[in-house]
Amino acid sequence: MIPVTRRKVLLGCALAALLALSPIALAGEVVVTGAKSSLNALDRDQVRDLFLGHMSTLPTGRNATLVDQPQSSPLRDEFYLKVANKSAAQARALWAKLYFTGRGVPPREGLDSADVKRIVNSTPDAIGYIEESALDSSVKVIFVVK
Amino acid sequence: MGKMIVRMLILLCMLVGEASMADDGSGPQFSGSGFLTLTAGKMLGGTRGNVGGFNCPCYVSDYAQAAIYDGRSALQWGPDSKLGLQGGVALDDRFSVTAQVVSRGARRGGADLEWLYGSYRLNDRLTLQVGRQRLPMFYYSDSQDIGFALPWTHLPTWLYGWQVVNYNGAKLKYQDQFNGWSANANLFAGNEHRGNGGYWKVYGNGAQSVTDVDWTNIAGGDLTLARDWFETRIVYMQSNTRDQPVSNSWNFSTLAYDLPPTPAPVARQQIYGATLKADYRNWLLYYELINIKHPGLSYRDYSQNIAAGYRYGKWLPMVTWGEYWGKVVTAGVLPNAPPSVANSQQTYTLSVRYDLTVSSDLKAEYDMTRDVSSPGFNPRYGSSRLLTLAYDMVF
Repeated sequence: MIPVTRRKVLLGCALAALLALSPIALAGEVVVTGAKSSLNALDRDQVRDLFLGHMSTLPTGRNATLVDQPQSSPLRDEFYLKVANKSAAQARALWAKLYFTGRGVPPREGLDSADVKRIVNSTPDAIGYIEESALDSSVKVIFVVK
Repeated sequence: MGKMIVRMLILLCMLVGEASMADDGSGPQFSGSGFLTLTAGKMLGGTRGNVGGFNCPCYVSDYAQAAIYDGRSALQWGPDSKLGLQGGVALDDRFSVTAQVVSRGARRGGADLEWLYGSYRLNDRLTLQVGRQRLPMFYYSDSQDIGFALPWTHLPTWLYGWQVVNYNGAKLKYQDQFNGWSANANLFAGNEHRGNGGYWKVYGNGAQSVTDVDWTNIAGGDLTLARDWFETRIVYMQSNTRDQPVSNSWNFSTLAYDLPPTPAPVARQQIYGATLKADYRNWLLYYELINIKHPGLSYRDYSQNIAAGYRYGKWLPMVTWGEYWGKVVTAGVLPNAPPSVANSQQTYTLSVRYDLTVSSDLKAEYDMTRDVSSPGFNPRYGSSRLLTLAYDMVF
């Protein structure tokens, strides 16, 4: 039998290894906009309502252009789960309803975080989400996903 | 005409593929997309008989399209399978044009132009849409063709089964947020002519009959309020209606098409609807009620639907109950009719949805229907038990 203290150490190591293999859980996500945008911050409800299509305008009064991670990205699942308590598929179903009925335009899809940053930086009023470790000077953080 | 529209839209979709937009938003922006539902149904049992030319037991999945599962032993793919293509162009950040065509198994692959409208954003809150659009009678009306957006393999039939689902006209849309609530409101007006509509094939005139339907002077409004996990909607609309048989109709006494077409009067209808929906944590709860008054006529329509589901990861099992009843408000209209209710059906539904990918799902659904209409009422379909399996995707 493994002593309790040793079991705790092994369990800790196993969890650490698991987390190390799961960069999303460690990296965290941030919602970003272009570095030159006049938008400085959003709260969780605003981010949720924008990415679920409940609202389309930013606090600046201008229409938002939303940018998603690709469908295959675990960042996308993590983002919708943490911000809206929904799966990426549920969010997609909501957007399908809005798009095919003329009530909204779904988020554009970036190829990866670098592409999301490129679109956000070059498109006025665009916001997207990336892993915190991908941050650089081309974008600024307007919400930290927790 | 239908094939030409489909070809044009396919071409548009091929040309634009993914939304081909300039990053700076300048110039026309094209978009193309679509949705697909493949559904196989198996009638497990029910009341046998010839009802309006249908070989029953029967389950009506969509009145407007005459989509009906009948008593044949083979799998039935037609009633709920459909392919939709949508193309659009945004000329600037205010004006866009959108078209959507849907090909249905219920119409043997025939395609209908469901949406074709121009949209002009007047300001941040108001948008004007003019053209052909979906009639927003119910909560799920707008998305009724998009299986991926629905928890069921088909919409609750007793609530969603009416003569027309579209109109040609104008809609003024309002969108706003206040105190954590988002508000969406629409005012709409227009007309709809449906030649050889599906509703009356199912509802009494017979499978081979031809009946034209006109809803004129349509006017109404709806308001949806949403906050976090809660959503509620109310709707009111009114119109003139005229159901004009073109061919002979089915005679339930002689079991033949020997009732000649007779001129139909214009009637009025007033439609009141309300919806409550909660999507709280893993729970999904939904209730919808509608009441249709026909001033000057002898009956009223009521229908309601209630559903509860619980999400386990990618799974959404759900229980749904729905009913329709047509209430006679003038004595002596139907022979042998009980004091108030002439036509009534109920359906119990067990369904489960599994999210296959971010943009596709699989569903299974078991529907059990009871027809509790009065003895003198036709068409009386009796009971039925139907199993359907569906695959939905958007692209």
